[in-house]
Amino acid sequence: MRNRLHVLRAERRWTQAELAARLNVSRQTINAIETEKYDPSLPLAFSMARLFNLQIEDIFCPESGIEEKAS
Amino acid sequence: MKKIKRLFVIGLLALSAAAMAAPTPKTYTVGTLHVDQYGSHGRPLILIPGLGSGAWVWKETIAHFKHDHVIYALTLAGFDGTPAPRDAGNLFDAADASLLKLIRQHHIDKPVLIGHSLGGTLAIRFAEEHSDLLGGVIAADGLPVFPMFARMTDQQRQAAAQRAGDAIAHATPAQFKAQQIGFMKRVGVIDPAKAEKYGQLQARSDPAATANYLVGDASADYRPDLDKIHVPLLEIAPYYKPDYAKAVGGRPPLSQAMIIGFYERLLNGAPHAKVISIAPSRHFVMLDQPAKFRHAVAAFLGKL
Repeated sequence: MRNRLHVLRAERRWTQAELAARLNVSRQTINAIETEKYDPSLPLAFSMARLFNLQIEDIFCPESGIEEKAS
Repeated sequence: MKKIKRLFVIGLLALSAAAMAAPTPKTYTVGTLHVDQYGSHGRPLILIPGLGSGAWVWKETIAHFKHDHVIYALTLAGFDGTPAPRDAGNLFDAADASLLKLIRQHHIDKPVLIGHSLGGTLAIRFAEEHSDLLGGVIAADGLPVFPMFARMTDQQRQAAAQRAGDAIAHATPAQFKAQQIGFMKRVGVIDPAKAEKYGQLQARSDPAATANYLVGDASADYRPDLDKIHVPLLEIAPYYKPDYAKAVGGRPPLSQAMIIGFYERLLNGAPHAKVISIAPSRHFVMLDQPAKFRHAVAAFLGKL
């Protein structure tokens, strides 16, 4: 699943390990999601959305001039 | 000789007792659907499993409702060891057409569709197309659009669905099995031992067919026609607090009420939709909480 996770992470200058720690998952999980080898569960998608202050649909929207919004 | 006769009679009695305890369903095929039919009277229920699942996911549901309902437990071709159709095109479309054929051919009067996941999405889609044929719809964690694809354009959604399908279609048998077991452990059910067992069952499905159904399902967005559903629609959202327990960004974890709100947003436009949540449960709510699921179904049926 193509997603914006790596972009959102890079904007905050977080490593995969730092993002993984914030989401309470392994670094391998973050790497797998960023490389589209693993689709996150709905709860994990919600956690990512809340961390980045986005709607979950926005995390997985490949091209969007997304403005951050309350979720 | 007398002893042999006695043994024969005992054997017959044992066989008939076993038959009474677990009546064999009437089985047949309609289009791309394998059908197990139970019961003889009462409002018909059509049970539709999700991606890669078979009728086994409804075992407890069938056992409970077969005495008062005629139950049609479906298995979509290619799932659970059934033969995958050749050259059938979009299998999700074929399942939709086959469901219409089943209802018409067997004169099924105002059935209630009960679908899980992809089966729930199929039930919602069918209700948009043929609301007049139905008595109601229950979708267990099946929505009119794949939540993570909800804001994509049609083109983006189709591309994303295709990539998700490719990840399954290109997997080796060992990788497919690992995918199914991993999914059941992360997302499917709470108990890891049951997840392992159910994952093995999911792995009996045909990978290419599984990918085909996934692409057909996840490519579509059925939200624009939700207003065409004129029968009651119950959406059951599972909630397992530990999955949402970690507060992120200094914000509290997602509550059950917030999850209900999310599902309501995706069903906005369906005039007779109601969302309830069952906890503690992961995606296969009828397996994690069979009693609560049965009660929710019974309450819905009681109001029709």
